[in-house]
Amino acid sequence: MRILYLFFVLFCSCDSYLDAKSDLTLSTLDSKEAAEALLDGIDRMNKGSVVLQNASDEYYIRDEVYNAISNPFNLESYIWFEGTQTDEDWNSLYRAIYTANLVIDNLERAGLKEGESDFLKYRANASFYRAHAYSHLLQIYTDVYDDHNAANMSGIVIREDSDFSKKSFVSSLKDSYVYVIDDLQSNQKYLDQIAALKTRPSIQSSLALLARIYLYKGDYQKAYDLTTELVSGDGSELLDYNELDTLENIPFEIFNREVIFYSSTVVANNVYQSTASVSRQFYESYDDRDLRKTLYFQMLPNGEIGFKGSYNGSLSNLFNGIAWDEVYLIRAESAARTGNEHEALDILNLLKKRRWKNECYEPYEIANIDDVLDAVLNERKLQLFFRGNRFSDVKRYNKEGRGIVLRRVVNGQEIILEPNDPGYIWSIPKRVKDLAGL
Amino acid sequence: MKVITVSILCILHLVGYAQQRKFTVIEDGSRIPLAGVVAKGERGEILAVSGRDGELSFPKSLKNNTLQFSLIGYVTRNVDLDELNVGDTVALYRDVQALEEVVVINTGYQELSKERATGSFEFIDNELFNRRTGTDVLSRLENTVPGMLFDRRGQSADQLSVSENNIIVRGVGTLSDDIKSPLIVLDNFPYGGNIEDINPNDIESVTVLRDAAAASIWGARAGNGVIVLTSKKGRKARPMRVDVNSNLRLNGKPDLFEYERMNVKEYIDMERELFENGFYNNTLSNRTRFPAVTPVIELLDLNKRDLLSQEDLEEKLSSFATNDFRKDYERYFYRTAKNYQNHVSLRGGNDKHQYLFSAGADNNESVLVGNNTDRYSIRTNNNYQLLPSLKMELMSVYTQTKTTSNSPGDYTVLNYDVGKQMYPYAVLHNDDETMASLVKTYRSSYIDTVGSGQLLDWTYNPLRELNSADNINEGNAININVGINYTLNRDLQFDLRYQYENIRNTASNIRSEDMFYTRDLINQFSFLNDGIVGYNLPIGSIIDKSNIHTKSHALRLQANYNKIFAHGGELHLLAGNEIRDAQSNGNVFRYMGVDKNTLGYSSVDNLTMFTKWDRLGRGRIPTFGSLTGTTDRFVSFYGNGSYTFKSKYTISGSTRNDASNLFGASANNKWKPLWSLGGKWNLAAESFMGFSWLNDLSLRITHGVSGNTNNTISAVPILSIQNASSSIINRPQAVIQTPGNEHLSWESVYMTNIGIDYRLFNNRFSGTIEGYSKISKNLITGMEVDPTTGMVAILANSGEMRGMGLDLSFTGRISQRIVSWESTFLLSYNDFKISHLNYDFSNTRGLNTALGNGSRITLNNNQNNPYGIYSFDWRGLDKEGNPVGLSEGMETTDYRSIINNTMIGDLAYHGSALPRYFGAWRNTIGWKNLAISFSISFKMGYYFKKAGLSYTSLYQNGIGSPDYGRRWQKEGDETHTDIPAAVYPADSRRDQFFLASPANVLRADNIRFDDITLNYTLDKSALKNLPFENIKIFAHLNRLGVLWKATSRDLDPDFNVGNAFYPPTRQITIGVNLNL
Repeated sequence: MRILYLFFVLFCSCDSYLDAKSDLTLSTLDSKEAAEALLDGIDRMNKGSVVLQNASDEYYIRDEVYNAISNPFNLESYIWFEGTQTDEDWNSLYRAIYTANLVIDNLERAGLKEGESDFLKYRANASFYRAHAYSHLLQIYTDVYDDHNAANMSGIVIREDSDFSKKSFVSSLKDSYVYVIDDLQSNQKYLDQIAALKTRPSIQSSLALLARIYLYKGDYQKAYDLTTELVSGDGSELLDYNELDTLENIPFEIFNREVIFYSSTVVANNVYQSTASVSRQFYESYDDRDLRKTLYFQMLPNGEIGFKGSYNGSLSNLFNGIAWDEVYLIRAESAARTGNEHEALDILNLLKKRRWKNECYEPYEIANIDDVLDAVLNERKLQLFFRGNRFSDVKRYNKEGRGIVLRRVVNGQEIILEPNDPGYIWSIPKRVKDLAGL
Repeated sequence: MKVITVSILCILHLVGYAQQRKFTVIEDGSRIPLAGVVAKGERGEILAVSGRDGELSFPKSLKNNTLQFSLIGYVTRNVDLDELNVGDTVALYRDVQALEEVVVINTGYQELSKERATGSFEFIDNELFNRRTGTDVLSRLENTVPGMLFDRRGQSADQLSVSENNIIVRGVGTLSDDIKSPLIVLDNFPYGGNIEDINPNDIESVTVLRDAAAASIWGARAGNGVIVLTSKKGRKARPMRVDVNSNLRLNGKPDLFEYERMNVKEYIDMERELFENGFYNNTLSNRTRFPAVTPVIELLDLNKRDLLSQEDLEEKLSSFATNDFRKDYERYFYRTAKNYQNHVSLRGGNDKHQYLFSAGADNNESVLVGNNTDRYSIRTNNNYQLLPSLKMELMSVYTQTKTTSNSPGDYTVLNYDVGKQMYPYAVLHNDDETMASLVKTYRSSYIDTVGSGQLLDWTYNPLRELNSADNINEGNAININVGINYTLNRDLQFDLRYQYENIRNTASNIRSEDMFYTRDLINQFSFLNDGIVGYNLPIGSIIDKSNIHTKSHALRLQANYNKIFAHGGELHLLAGNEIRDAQSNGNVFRYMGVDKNTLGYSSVDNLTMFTKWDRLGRGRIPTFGSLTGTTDRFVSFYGNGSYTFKSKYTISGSTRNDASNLFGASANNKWKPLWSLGGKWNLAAESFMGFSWLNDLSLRITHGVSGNTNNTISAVPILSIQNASSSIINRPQAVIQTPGNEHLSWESVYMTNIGIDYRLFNNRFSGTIEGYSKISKNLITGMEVDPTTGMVAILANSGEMRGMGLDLSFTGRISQRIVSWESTFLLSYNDFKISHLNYDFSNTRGLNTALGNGSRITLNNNQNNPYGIYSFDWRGLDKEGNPVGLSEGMETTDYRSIINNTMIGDLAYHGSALPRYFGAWRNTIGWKNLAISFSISFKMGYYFKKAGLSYTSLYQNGIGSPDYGRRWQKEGDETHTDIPAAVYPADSRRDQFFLASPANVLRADNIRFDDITLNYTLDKSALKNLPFENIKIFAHLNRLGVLWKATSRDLDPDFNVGNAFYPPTRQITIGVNLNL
């Protein structure tokens, strides 16, 4: 019967004949489902910085492995090479931002009416991914926030919509933070309280991300207040490491109870178990009674220490999303920094109870602790191992004069990153600058 | 004049006969009766003219001793009347010199005599088409059409058939690799199926449309030329004729030893050195995957751990060094392939009805054991004169194909782990003739101990794979073509044509537990429960099934107006519209745990993250499946006209408008109509050119525009929706496949063509000279954009290309009754370059461009060919054997700085990777019933890259190079070698710099002895008791070898991008043609 239809078209030429979709597996952004599928693209949307992990002093690469690395990104980020032209993080994070913007710009085409609850929810979801990507960009490409000077410091490029004919420009650090924080706050209430999938945003993840941003911004009171809204206070959100099998090759499951928002590194060639050896100094800083020593690490046959404790359920890419342990540690740190040392210590004990072997657990006593803040920061280092936080933490600790020096030894040559070295701030790749005219 | 003569003769014939002595005049060979043959007496008086049945009658009283029989297109023959008995036949030989006169070109929309054609058409008649043998249609056109380049660089050296993707007509007119093929038209409609489904025995002739005037009638898809295939039809007024064609082709077994390789001893020595340097420490200590290492490394490890004595080690290693996997591989995996081709056709007809029926069977083996292709086709063609004014054509083709792909593949494809080429000392059999275990994926020491006998055998042997593979692809295609032609009056006709295609392909890949893939997967997902093995993936075969079903309809309505005016003008007009609709649906599905006997299968949990067997990590059981659906729709309007005055002056023009659902409405609006204009002047017909030696001289000029259809572009962002099963959250994922760009418009190809046709000295010399220029505008390319936008590149109309060329053909003929000689020389020159890009990226790092081998388009701002070969500046080797390059003007071995500081604009351009001059010289010599024809072809003015030695890929992937033996080894070597010294650890930048250096660039120019065909024809007129009308026995020897090449290296630049593992295989075909 198609032939009759063809005759009809041949003689009448109707336009709708040419409106047929040419490939059913392709789609334009014209439905809620398409918007959702874009945001569910976890390989693009749930990705965080890899350069921050590559640059961390938590691991080192043996010379033979280092010499076999061919990707300049992996080499240069490892040795904090100033002139690095690598743009992997830039590209992938801005791609997530573009995708989120595309969804926001096309909500009406997708059949949603402005102001309706679905419209607001999809917009809020997309905004969260966008803010999450910006929060990583802020850690990579900007200096530690300085209240007095932020308006004159350079921040990041803010792309407000998906129109790629608009020119990019770098906003001030202050404006960048204001944009990201506003974006998160204004959309927060439209998110689900708890997400159906840990890859999707929720009010919880939005508050947690905001708390993380305030912590890095140095606004400890705000960070503390946000965690008040979040945590139960009794540590029930945390995993009890006593229930896990230390002999497992991969002890932690993906999307385990502690995970609030799932995100992982884009590529992690440097930090695969076979490549990255954990610094012995780090390893030794875990007490033998601490379960993390056996859940996070394993001895490799070549005598090196390998990391196995990622919340990613695999040894390939590393988890760098937001989990309850981090939220508790943000709370502990901001409590300690705002003069609430008792509470800070209580939180450490909540954590310790679930991290140390049950039979060996004894709470920290304030009387035995020289400096509660030091203890909190140490705990942060131990717990959030290989989560992509360490490099940024060192950067901000050094601003307050902690004088942490990062060292690499490559083929017998020592490479040092002095405190407050400009090398802590990755420069915008030249190629991006050229193309964007920055 | 001709018409008048014939009419007078007819009248004479009608009035002047008295039925006394009768003869029949037939065509020699085919035995077709010839009408219109004039018989003259000794004084030149016309005595009789043959009728439709070929019969001639003479009065009994005729006293002439010698009669002269003549017919245009045939050699005039004198016959002694006394030698003829009543009822005898007189055979006339076809006169090859006069063939041009009957050439009718088929453009797919009209049939047009070459005399009126202004455009560049190249016609390949049946005889030339059948000069070569083979299963496919297109390879028969190789070296027959000037300007048509066969680019086989993507093919392996044993491959014979070609697809449209291997053909470039007059250079490339787009910057998108995927749309550079010419359009294939079969029987008036674009061919939507697989080109290899067409049986060449069903093809009558081929017309290649090379310029805009010829091709623009095909509009938006004609920018790269059009190849029009016309299939055989029934014939009027002929008795039924049966043609049988049967042949056997042998395709030689590849010779893996012909080309130099890195030898086995070198490979083992290299492994030892790497081992001592600790290269394998990581792999050997990997306890999460237990990755495979070669047997040599396993032995060295045992030795290191004091589990193997030094003597045993040395003994085993030296015995390994005597192995050569090529021997086993050549013996068990390659063969001399036998291809059988059988075809029979019946055709005939009368005034009311002409018919053709044909059936063909092709059974082809590949040189790879286990790979076969079979094709069966049945075809019918019927033409009916229903009413004096109404004709109908019915055509149908049914094709069935079956492709078996059981071979693990070419020698170089085999690996022992992902990206690690099989070690060269592998053996397939142990000393006791049992199957050997080759290393695969896991360490053999791991496989030997794991599971302690509870798991399925985890060993690998490619021979076992070959024997148990069952991978079949079956296809069937139906093509029905109906045409109705109505003549309204003398001038006006209407054509209605409809074509239906139905193509179905089913693939089935059954991997039983004998296959490593299946055993490995089952083992990985096995677990131990109270000492008993459990299976998350049940034991059984894994079967992948896939289906693709395409249905297409095309309908065309066309009006033809032909008028001959009294003043000597001739007007031909046609106009029509056409609509096409092709829908394709496909699915892929996997069954697991299949019991092959009962076909029962198991359901499998694809969602749970299982802990794999024995510390092998966690994972899901891989799923495999997809659903696809596409709809392609086109609507086109077209028109074409020509006016010829007094057979001297012709002007022509055409226009076409296309719209499609591929691009969205806004894009259709931007579609400019495609058009062409042309003129022709037949100089030989002018009175001032009345030279007796000048048979024909005409001048043609055309100009026009056609288009390229790029369906990857879109005005709005296009998302590709990926299966939920590919996501860890089991939800569909969308990927932005194309960021929309609403400023896009379509690619257009402007072409100007000037041609001269000539025939001289009683048609003894003839030929064509054509020159053309081709400008392609609005070419769509990827354009880098600010990555901050979220896009690294977008597609935009940003390029322009300019090309020009010359196509020459020359034929000389000497023909006598016994001996004939025909020599044809074809020469093409074609040069094209990117003349403009909207953006400048000469400041982008040049490494990737310099690493390219010219097989894909490389953009540049330097007016170079897009298939260019580039290299870094380099200064040879230094005293340590390191390649020296330049960075910021200084000689250096700082490869990072060389690579970072060498931009595209700094690279040296060697030239095109496509030949700029090519052609062929073909000679056919006939002696009595024997004909021999040979062809020599050449390609000139291009470059290729040898696969250079990279220590990184040698160490990591085991990819050896014959250059290894020529490497720098001691001081002083740098004066006579340009192969860098081996270094440990490998420096990937040093390797990349060397690979991108001119040391690997070679000239590709070559001259080949293409083929020889020999045939011997016998017919009834010569041998009375022959049981059939005629028989032709032939032999065809193909790819006889390279006569000359510019490079001294053992490489063939035209296969596998110049790096084939073995030289092109030779073929010999022997066959017979019978006419009953």
